[in-house]
Amino acid sequence: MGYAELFCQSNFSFLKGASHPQELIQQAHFLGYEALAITDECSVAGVVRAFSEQQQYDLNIKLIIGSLLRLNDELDIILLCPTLAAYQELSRIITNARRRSIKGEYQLEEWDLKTCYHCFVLWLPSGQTQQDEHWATWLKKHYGERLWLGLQRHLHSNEQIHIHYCERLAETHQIPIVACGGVLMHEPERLQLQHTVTAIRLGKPIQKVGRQLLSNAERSLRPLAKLQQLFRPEWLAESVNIAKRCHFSLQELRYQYPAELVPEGLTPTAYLRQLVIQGMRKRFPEKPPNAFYIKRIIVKELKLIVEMQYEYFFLTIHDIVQFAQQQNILYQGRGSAANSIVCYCLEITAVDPRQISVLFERFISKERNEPPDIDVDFEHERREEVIQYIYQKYGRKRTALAATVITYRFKSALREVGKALGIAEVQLDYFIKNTNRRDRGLDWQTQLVESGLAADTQQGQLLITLVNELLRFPRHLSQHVGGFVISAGPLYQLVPVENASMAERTVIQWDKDDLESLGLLKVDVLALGMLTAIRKAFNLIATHHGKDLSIAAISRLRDDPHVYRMIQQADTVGVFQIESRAQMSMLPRLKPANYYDLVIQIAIVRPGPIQGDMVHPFLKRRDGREAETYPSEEVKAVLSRTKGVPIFQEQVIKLAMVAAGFTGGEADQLRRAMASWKKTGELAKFKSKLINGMLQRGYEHQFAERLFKQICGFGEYGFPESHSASFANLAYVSSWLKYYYPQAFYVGLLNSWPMGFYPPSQLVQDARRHNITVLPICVNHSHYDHLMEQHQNRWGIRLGMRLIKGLSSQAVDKLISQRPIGGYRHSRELKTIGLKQNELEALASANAMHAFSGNRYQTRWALMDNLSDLPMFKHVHEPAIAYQFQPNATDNLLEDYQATSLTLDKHPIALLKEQGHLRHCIPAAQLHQVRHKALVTVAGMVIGRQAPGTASGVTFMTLEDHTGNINVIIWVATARAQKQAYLKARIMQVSGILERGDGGVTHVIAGKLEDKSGLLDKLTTRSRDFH
Amino acid sequence: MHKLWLYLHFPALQLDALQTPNLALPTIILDAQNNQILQLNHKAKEQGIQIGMGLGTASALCSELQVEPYNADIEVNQLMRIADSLYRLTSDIALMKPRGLLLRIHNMLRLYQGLDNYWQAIDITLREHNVHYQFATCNTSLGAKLLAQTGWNHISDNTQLQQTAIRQCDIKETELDKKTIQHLQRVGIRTVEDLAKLPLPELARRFDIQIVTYIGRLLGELQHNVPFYHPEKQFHRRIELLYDITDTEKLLVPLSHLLLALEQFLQLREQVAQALHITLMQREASNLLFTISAAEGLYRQQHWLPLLTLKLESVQLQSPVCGVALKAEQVHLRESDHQDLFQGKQSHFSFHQLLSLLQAKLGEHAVKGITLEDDYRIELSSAYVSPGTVNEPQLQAQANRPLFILPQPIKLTDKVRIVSGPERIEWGWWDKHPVHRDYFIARHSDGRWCWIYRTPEHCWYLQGYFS
Repeated sequence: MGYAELFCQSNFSFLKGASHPQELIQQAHFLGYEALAITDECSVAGVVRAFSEQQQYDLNIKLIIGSLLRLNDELDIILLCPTLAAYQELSRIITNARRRSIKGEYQLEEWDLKTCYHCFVLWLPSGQTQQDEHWATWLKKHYGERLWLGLQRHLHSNEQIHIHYCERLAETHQIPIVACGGVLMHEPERLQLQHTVTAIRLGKPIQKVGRQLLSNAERSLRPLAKLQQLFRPEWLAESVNIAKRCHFSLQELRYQYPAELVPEGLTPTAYLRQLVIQGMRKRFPEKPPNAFYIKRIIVKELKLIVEMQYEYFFLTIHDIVQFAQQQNILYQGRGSAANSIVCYCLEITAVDPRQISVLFERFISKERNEPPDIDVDFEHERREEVIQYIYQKYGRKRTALAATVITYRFKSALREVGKALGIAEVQLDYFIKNTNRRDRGLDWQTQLVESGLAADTQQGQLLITLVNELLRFPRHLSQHVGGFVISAGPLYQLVPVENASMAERTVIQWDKDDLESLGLLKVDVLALGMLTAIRKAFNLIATHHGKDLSIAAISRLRDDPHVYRMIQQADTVGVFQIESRAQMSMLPRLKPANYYDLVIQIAIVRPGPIQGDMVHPFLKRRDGREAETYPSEEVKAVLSRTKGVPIFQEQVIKLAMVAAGFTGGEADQLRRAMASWKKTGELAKFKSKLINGMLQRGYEHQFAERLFKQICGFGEYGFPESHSASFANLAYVSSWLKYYYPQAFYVGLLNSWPMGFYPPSQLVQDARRHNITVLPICVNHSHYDHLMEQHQNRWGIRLGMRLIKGLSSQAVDKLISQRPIGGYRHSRELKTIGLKQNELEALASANAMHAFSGNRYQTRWALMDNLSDLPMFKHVHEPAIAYQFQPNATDNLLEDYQATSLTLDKHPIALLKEQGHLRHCIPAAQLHQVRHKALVTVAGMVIGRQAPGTASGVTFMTLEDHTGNINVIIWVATARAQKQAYLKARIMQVSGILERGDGGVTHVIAGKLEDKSGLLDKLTTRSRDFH
Repeated sequence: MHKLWLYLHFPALQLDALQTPNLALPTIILDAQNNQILQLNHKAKEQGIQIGMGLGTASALCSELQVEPYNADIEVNQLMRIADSLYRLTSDIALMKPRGLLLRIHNMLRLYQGLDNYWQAIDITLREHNVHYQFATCNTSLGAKLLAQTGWNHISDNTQLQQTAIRQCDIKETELDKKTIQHLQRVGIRTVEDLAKLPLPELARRFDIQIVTYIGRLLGELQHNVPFYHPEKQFHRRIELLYDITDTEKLLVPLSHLLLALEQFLQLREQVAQALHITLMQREASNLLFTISAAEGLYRQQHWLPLLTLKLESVQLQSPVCGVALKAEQVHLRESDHQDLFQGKQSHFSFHQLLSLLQAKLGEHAVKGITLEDDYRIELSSAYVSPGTVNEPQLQAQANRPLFILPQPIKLTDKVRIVSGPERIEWGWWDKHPVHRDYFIARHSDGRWCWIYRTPEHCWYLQGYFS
């Protein structure tokens, strides 16, 4: 006797279901069920995972799509999808119910049910006679032959009575009975977790929940033999009958691209070809020397696009970037498909293919079976315009964001399970704060025990087991950062849409992996601060230098040795990507001299390659200190461009294929497992396959093991070459701007802040070190934004009022629009223009009235006076009584930092030195004169503490003094022994040994740490801490 | 005679109350809501932990940190105790919750013949409480408070000296609100001296009246009325124990301290009490409450003690006791016993009187209330509670449960016929009584309806009868 489970909720019925969809389909298959319906409550968010599992393991069990729906606490029904039409109908009903409610909830209406013409309906009687009689009649009337009565048995008391009741209902109303399980767990052992998530949902400790918890584990997938004891044969048979009539599979879903993109009379292919040809003329106005080669590649690419039916995808992106171009919004495409000449011609990317011909062979690969990947970055301040354009063009019904499934991570799982077990919150906080997830020496279980969890008690064991089970459980759906799904018809025919927490945003119920599994495409519209900065710099250059620049124009100028010399000296503060401390310390060693070097530089200084121990071999081989060897020609073909060291994600995938014999499909799974390694831990599955595959093909075991280690390293942070190529382009363009138009570069950056790695204070210091005059904020000269201003016949930077904390841009507009031609001459005048009191005071404290008013204390004091606010006293201007408090140098410094977070006066360290402190400290700018291995003492403001997971136990600390930044390396033992200074210091004095590495990079290896914050007690500085 | 105030500031009142042996370890009192450390012991200070720090930084600095959540009740309770004992020495005390006491002392000096004597008396009493304290005298109450809180620790009636000290204080230490302080700092005003230099009208044009009033009162230019403390009307005190007590007999010691305090309290007021509510704070279980009553009002420790001893014999502790509290009820003026034969009220017992009599005679366990519990397990679906407690919310009894439950399930030996079932109960894995049973309703051959169950090992038990 067969059985099909038609009522089963996964953990996508958040905090109700206690098993992953994958576990459910595996278990149902194992138990020999004919079919399994995943019927989460008003959701289909989990079905794709079950579907992928079924496909991947080729499970011989039918997957049915359905959903449990509740109407006003009186009617529970399950809708099942026998056909595509039924699926579209369900999807619409869920969408309507979800869209009526706030995020995470739904509200079903009778009307929804009345318009259900295709779905099968399982009704679960409530046991309230009157109610059930009403609904039985109603349902029978509307659904007729599509209606069943779902009978569940969970071994409750009085179950016989319930069965008789249902039988009578069924007989009276002529509704066939079908057995169903109301499954919440794939196996009975999940009962504890089910109880726990129930307690979490109800917000009470388990002991206090009482009989709202399940009384037993019967709501699991049960063996057939047991079901035969519980249900009559005809009820079981009916489940199989229903399953047999369900033919819909997710495979049938096909994405229909918006047709309006193609002008009438043209096929998409013809239109795409036409656009590419137009683009060629624009991109290659003069016939390039390798024109024939380029044409041949274009033909090849177009052929592949047509074969894979991706024309609409490229057209959609083309349309979006066209809009950006018209609006003068800077953008850049990236991703594997982006690095094609087609994309260059469609103006999606601006990387001149002649510079990196090597990249273009690795366009979309059919054998790798990847979906085409194009992300487009837009200026971060203007991305919303692009999003609004998409909504406007396609309408809200036809476009929505992909979801991101937020899952339980260690902290949230521990907190919630702990609360459910009745552990005090203070205690849980303490556990969480004492657990370092980056510590790869100790797993979190051991760390918990070390911070005092009694692992031998029942409670301690339960905590560890349940946290482990709850990890990676979905919690809720959130919106993807910018992945849009656009369709020809209403989107709800494809997948349900629900409200996001952000107003006016909607998300579909699937995430990007789900979309990929079904071969559906999304368009990534992302935000990038650097593009804003570059566009602002371009505008400034056009205004002040009369030159029109573009990213493509700069990259067409080919590699400029001056720019690369600057990069090699690590003079890259503010430059895209290569400005971080790790990148900067690698620049003098790697010495990038052309575009592809930059591509490698960006990819290599990442935790992946560093963890996989790839950096040193690469440097050695590049410098010719080590021979390049390859175990085979195939491997050589993959690795030769990076000196035999795998640096890019694509290389690892390709290696798995050529060296370990992965098929395209398997390699794709590997790629996805790598991307979500931390979330799902699926990578381990591939280990034996990879290593055995390589051994079979005659590779050495050591080589195979090393490759697997590298893959694991990549998993977390790996960088695809295609992305690196696009980033390198922006890194180059920003370096070029920094070299040729530094004022415009800094002003562009400062006006786009917050973005990038450095706060304004450090950017301004960097500008001044490049001999650029920086002029203070002044109510008579400054605007809201920073400006380029002529000063002694050179361009300087005039700081803008956007730096002043507590001052709105509207206030600045008012201030400027009412500014007299000769400028303000008295603080009184500012009082009359209608600024708020706190804004006036902020201006005074920022010393923005220094041109005509006394010191800032006095100005602020005068502005605080409310006497002249009164109408009668309006024209009475008492002579200002001399205010007795005058700021000294330290006061001014503190006020500068407090009001604007930076100072143009003396640097705090310079000030302290003047006052006789920190005498023996060597300034940053003089460190290069100190010999290698010498003992030094340095001091500075702590502007960064970074403890990357890659360097176990090492903290990189950056100290800033009046001459530059100092790199300090603190070993774990040093940090532990001098914890107080290490953790608390804002001004730190470090004695240690100076080390000079390759390329002249200096570090101070810390010995003694001294907290000198007391010297400048109230100074507030911001440190970027990464733990 | 000019005015003189004494302010006592107790910087670590909760920590002081906590005196457990654990104090050898770094300990902090944490305001969990704002994630801010409020109090810390010397050991914690040594590790670099500071007041105002968050738990994250603190636990990074010290891995063996003991964390206690802040509890204002404990502090207020302590404060009241101290106030109460000082009340015997001085008449005008104002409670400055949660950590300060303000004493008006100029009117006491003649009685004590000088400030030194007075302070000595106060100091001795304070020492008995074993708490940390800071102190200061000043001619204004706010001045005394400010100086005490900054740890001035001077006893003097030299106004000049006091005022100089006040003027040196940072404005951050004053009671002005944070925003005002920030505003003042931003125009270069750092100390009370700076503030005092400014003409009051100038200040008044820039700030609200609060600052002018405060400065006026601080410097003695304006009057300041303080509401004084009046001793409690009702005796309700609590002791945090120095260490946990597991033996009820040992509880007699702290409780007899409380009884002695009660005796003093009642004696001063010429009062007697008829009922005492006693609360035992159990570390890992809910509070244990019981009442002892006396048919006629008592006040002496020696009279209450036997009743209490009797009572304690029948008290079962679920977990170690970390604190005890005593509250006197039905207190009235002591009067000579003159019972009116004709009032006819001799046999009337209040609920508590009846209860305490029954309990004292039969033992605690013999008298119980009963309530429903929200539990599938029959053994735990009803529970005995201390009489008079009501379960919230009201629960529905479960269907199909027998009225008669055997004290222990017994092995099923007789032949029965199963009528309905199974009802499966798999529950309670989180506590000490997990069950995994299939229940059936069965008919015994002699006609009885039985409630039986089967374990996963296929053993059968009889647990109850329906009829």
